[in-house]
Amino acid sequence: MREPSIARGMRPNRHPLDEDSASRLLQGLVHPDDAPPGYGAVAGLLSSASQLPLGPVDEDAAATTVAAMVEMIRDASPAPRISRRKAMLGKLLAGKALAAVAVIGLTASGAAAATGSLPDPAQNVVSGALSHVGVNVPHPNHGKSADHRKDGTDHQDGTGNEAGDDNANSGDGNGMSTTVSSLKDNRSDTAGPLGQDVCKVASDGKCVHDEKGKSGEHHDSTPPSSGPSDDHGKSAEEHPEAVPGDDHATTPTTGSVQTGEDHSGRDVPSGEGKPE
Amino acid sequence: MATPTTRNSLGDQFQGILAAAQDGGEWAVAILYRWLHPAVVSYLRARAGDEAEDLASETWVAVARGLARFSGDEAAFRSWVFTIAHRRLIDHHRASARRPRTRTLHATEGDDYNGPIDLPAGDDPAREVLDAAAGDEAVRRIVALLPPDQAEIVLLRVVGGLPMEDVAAITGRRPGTVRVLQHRALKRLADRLERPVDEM
Repeated sequence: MREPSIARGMRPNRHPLDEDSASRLLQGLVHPDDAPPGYGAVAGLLSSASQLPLGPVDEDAAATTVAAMVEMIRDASPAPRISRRKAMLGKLLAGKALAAVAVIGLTASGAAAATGSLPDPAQNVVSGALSHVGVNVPHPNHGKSADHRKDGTDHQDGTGNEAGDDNANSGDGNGMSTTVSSLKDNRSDTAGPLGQDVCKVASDGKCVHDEKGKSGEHHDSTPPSSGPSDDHGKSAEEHPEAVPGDDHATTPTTGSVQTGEDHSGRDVPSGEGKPE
Repeated sequence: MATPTTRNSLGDQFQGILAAAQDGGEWAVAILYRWLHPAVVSYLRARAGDEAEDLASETWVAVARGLARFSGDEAAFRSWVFTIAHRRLIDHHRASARRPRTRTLHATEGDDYNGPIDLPAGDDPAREVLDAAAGDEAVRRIVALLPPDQAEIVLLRVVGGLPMEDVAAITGRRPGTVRVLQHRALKRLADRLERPVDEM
């Protein structure tokens, strides 16, 4: 219904449209008779525009479109679910396999390193690396020569060492190793062979000295980096109870393989001083 | 004219229909299509003229492509469908701008719209034809009387049945801007429709 204007050219008497009325108009919910003043025709127009019939405009087009939609949905929906599932399963299995391989590898490597079964270069690297974090892993030269024993005595600051720790753990060598270490420091240049003194100290005077005892002095002067030598083997063989050799008890396998007799004459429990 | 009560709605059945449609149920897809297609076509026709049916088909294809990933209620589904239709409309306008000879924007200006009247299916085809004609005529007048930006918002709200926030999201405008535009549109419609005959 059109509201009469007061005079020609004047706008109809129209109130400001509040938010709720505007919203209802735009939803097509307002009957023209119920519309705010001046908005009756607008309400009728918007109500007509909102009254769209249910149903498709063209049955043929609808059937074609619906069939195409169904085909797309059926083609699209199952495939991604399966592929996603397979992909996730594959990722899980791959991750588990990698983790298992890593665990096995680390365990095997650790066991091999602990028993000194790694190849010498690898064992050397592992031993050196783990020694920095306080883990005792056999050195590749363990038991091969007195060079290692020298490592255990001379490379330290006088307060103990990796090999010396074994002695300390064994309970019988801490004071003895100190005594032995002091032998070299206290002896004069004119003194006899160092090995003889060491042998005496280590065996509580039971050691019998012979000319081969010189080898002990020799291997004390051997650079730590030198590898096993015949002399070392002899030394170990002829001084089976040499105190620095106590750390051979930590590597019975390596020691026995390399020097054989080195452990045979010793009375050290096999379980003592093993790598932790 | 009968007082409209509520907009066409699937109500509580929507979620079940949606789930069936997502599983590829043809009957469910048909219900969704019949439910919203007239509004989509009407909205598109107001802005794209004779291209409306093609754009609507593209819209429904896109709906089918993304239906498996959709989750939401009836209002969200309606908003999603009109968002797709709006994007198809924008693409259509961009393509038309690159083809100056084949302009299809005459319908947005309203006066020369002369498209066919839809023939909906239902219990009372005659009544629905009249309603459809009335609805199309109303849409045509809205487009003819309003600037394009205001007409777009009014159509999305009236024909699409979308809330203001959804219209803002679809058109990329702020809700406050949409609110202002729809107020201006209503005022403009009132001015034009309520104007005395001797002034028109």
